[in-house]
Amino acid sequence: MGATAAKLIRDARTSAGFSLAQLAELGSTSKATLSAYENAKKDPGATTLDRLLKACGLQLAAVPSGMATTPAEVSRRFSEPRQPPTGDDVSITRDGRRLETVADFEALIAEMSSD
Amino acid sequence: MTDDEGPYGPLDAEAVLSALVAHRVDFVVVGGTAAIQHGATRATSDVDCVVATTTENLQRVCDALHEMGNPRIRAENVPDETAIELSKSLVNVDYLQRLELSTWRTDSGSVDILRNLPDANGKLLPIKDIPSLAVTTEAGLVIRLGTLAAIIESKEWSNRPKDLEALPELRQLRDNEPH
Repeated sequence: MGATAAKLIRDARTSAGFSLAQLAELGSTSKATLSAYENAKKDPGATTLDRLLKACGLQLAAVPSGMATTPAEVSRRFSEPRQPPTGDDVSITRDGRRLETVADFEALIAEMSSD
Repeated sequence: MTDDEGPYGPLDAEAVLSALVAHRVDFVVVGGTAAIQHGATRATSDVDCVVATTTENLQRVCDALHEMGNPRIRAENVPDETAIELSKSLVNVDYLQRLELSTWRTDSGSVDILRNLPDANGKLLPIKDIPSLAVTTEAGLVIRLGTLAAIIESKEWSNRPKDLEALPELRQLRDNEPH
């Protein structure tokens, strides 16, 4: 995971606008260790990588190979809107489902009736 | 507070807030309406509120929605007649408990009900953790308002074009706040 994780962490940090020290504090690690991760001198492991990316507002997820690991793709991802905290005519359930169509609402009503 | 014309008709923000206050809803105003209270000039088409999620408070939210008039879900792909029909099963505590964000249309305007507000790092803040202050509106309503810093952070996190457009004015207002 070394080189890929290093690139992911660095891209995530710089896109979020954090300094090494800031992300180290948010990610509960040291500046030196974080630097080692970013330079592929140390492997963060999945748990630490997940924690650091979350601190930058990202979620570590398994994706089909070939998707979103190049710098350009990662940059594009960062430029996209995040989950809206408010409005835009889309209701969102606590487990993250977007209610946009009649079928979405009918399915939820059916769930409410069966629970 | 001025009325603004949104895609779902005019917003009477004072009427929306008045209903929430009248029913003793525990809420904090965030989003564009809060920004206007802080001095922003950018119009908004809805009132965004973070509410306490106790059963009692959510029942008060339902009561307030009814007072706002004819509450129904607001969704771009759901015709209004269908929204009215579906909403007979949705203006209740069970529905609100299942939603992180519910969008409503009422005769007083559009309202968004949220459980949380994101901070700059995307951490979701429940109502008790949102930095807020009490203000009196033009109509004399005493309401709690998210601080300008909290509103800015939520919009920075949101990263939507309309939020990014609003940020320069909000940052200028923040920079001009007395210390």
